[in-house]
Amino acid sequence: MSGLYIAMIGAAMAAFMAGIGSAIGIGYTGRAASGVLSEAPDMFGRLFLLVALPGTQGFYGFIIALFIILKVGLLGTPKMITVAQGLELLAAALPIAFSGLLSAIHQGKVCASGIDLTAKRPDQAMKPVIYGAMVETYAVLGFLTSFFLMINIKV
Amino acid sequence: MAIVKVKKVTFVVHKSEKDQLIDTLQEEGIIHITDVREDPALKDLPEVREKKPEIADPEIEYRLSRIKRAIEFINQFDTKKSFLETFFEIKPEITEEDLKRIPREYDYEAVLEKIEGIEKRLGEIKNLESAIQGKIETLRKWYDLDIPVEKLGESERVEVLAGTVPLSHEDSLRAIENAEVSVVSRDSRLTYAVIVFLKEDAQKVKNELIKIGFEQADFRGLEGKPRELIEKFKKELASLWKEKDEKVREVLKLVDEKIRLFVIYDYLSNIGNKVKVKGKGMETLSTFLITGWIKEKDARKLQKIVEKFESASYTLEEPSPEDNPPTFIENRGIIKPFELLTKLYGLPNLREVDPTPLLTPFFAVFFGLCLTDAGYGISLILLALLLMKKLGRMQFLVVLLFGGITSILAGAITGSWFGDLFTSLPVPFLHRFRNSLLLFDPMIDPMPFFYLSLALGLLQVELGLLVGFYKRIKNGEVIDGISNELSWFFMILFVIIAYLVSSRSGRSFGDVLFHNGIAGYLMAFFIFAPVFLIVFLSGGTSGNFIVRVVKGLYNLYGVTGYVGDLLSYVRLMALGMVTAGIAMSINIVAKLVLPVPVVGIILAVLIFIGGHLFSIIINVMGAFVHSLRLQYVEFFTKFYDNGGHEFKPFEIEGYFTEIRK
Repeated sequence: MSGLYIAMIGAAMAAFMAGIGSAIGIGYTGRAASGVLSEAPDMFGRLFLLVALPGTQGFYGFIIALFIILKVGLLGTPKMITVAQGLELLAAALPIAFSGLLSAIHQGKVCASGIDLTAKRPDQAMKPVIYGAMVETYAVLGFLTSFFLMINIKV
Repeated sequence: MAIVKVKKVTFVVHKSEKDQLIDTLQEEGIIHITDVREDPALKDLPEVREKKPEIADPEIEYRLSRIKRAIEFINQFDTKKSFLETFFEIKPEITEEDLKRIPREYDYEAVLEKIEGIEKRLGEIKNLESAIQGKIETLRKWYDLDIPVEKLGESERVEVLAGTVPLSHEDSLRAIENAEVSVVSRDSRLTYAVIVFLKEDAQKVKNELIKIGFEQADFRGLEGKPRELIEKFKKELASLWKEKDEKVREVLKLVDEKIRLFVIYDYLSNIGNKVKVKGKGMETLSTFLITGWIKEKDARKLQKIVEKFESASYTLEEPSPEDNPPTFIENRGIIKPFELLTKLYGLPNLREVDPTPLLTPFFAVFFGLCLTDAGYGISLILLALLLMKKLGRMQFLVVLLFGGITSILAGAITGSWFGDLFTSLPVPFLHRFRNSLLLFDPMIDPMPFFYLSLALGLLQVELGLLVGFYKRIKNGEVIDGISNELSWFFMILFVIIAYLVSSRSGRSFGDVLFHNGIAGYLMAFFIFAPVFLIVFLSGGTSGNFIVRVVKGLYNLYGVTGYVGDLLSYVRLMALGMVTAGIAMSINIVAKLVLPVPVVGIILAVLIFIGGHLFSIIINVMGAFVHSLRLQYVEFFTKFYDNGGHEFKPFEIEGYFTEIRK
């Protein structure tokens, strides 16, 4: 049996779980921002950062997925992957898959309330961004863990 | 550099020269006016306590709100706003001369009335429109009714009723005795019907109707057959729409008046400001007194100001401990634009250090490492220059420009040019060029990047601790400084040194410290002496010894915080790798579509340009946010307290316009 399937599950999980997280997160921020824009159309630029911030997790997941895909040679000729190697790659995908999924959702909530704050006090637009970045730290750590696990797997 | 010294200035003039003094102060624009009621020396005087809180001139405020409303109204029709303006506020530039001339020459009252008239009429049209549309909607159900609606009701012998019953009761309606029912139309809920009956049966029929939920149709005020009425209303609607178009065209002609309204607004708001400032002063029987803050270097201008008056005099004082002077930070050269980042966090108070020069190099380097792509760096510089040409030298853009430069450096040493573009193109020269600048390739061995991030973090955290120590000394808290900031500084430094020695030499940590001769004992001293100081001294020097030690032990537990702080800098590497990864995936996709016949190359170029543009935007965003976070959360917490308020001179200022002096 080939471990390629397992490695592919890992790549898929990294991409889709972190992606789901970001989609939900931006779902929150986008709705909050549209609500504000209905009253104050000029705020678009100021809210942009807060709306887009939970989108990064999706990219972290995607990058790990891409590295796994490149590692097993799926874009060219697939390499022989043992079951053990497949499981290793799957394990490497898990940190960003889960930390991406959950941190993006919570970051979305933080940024959505940041949007409310910015709506009331436009001069304070940057401070909630920092709170958002605090949540993101854990997605960054998840990404790093996945990255270090992945590059050290010999294929 | 750093925080500018300010002095407290108090003006006293004879009442008759009050207005003139205020005018002069506004023109000079060098004094931050404070309210006498907030002045620690003056606030308890009976004159001040009894002073009525003076409000702004209602006449001016009313006009300002009218103009603002008119501008907002016109703005809805102004389609000339560029995409850039949704991100950046662009104020038209005017001269002080314009600010004096335009209000004299321009009859803004007439323009305002015109705009308000149009706004009012458009509102009315909107209401009329929906009223008529509602009427048409109801009449449409009666379209097939062939009787003029005013003929409904009682006549000599019969009564004719038009109305609705729920659809389910239509059969019951038809079953009513002694009444002729004709159904006009139906919709999903109701049956629309006309019922005719003799007057003598009226009571009985009406009782039946009530039972089945009959509701009489409301045609009050209407005359004619429904279908004629609908025609009539449609014509009315058409003429309303025509009028609306005309009004909109009129507004569009007025869009160009906007800039003049801006000027009028700013002219009036400056007059309004004078009134507000006057309210901050204090009057006695014959004098007027006003206080404020002035930058030390502007103090020599004061003499010139008072010389213009017959009765004016001023006094200049150092701020007393009860005062809360405003902060003005001043930096030169390339550091100046980075003041923006300090202001975003909050200005320092006067007893603080201005963190701007300290954060500038770190922010620039961190930004570069988060982006880590020479191609993106070049693009960012071009983008920033382009925007500067359109928007002027905004501080934010200058910061981006420096970020672009450091990104080029970071990209060059890690071999990242639009991701892996230079290695994936079959051009040997590009390979050679890339490799000649390459220091390490994180795609092959990411560990140097990891250590670089940690080293930068260590540098910044240690610098923060030193600045914190310096601040303690300046404020006379020597023991606190030694037992907190300085202790941590040495402990972190020597733990790292000992760790490096032990990992280099392959000996255990304890071995390095205690079986390493004098150097080892020196290291041990600088690690354990701080621990001792933190435990026994950082809890304070007075009070219960046990409580102090418990406090000290708790402070020692802060070591986890420092570990977390250092690890937090690894995000520099993570974001750098993410940029490289996204860029690489764009290149891969572009390469994948290349073999498509005919359009392959066009598609590849489009994907390359569009993809990298998108990638630049999201990665620049990430780089900015995370570099800033490291300053605020990891660096500032070591030494910085904000809590200053901005030095805002009373001057001629523009709300809608940029007034050039």
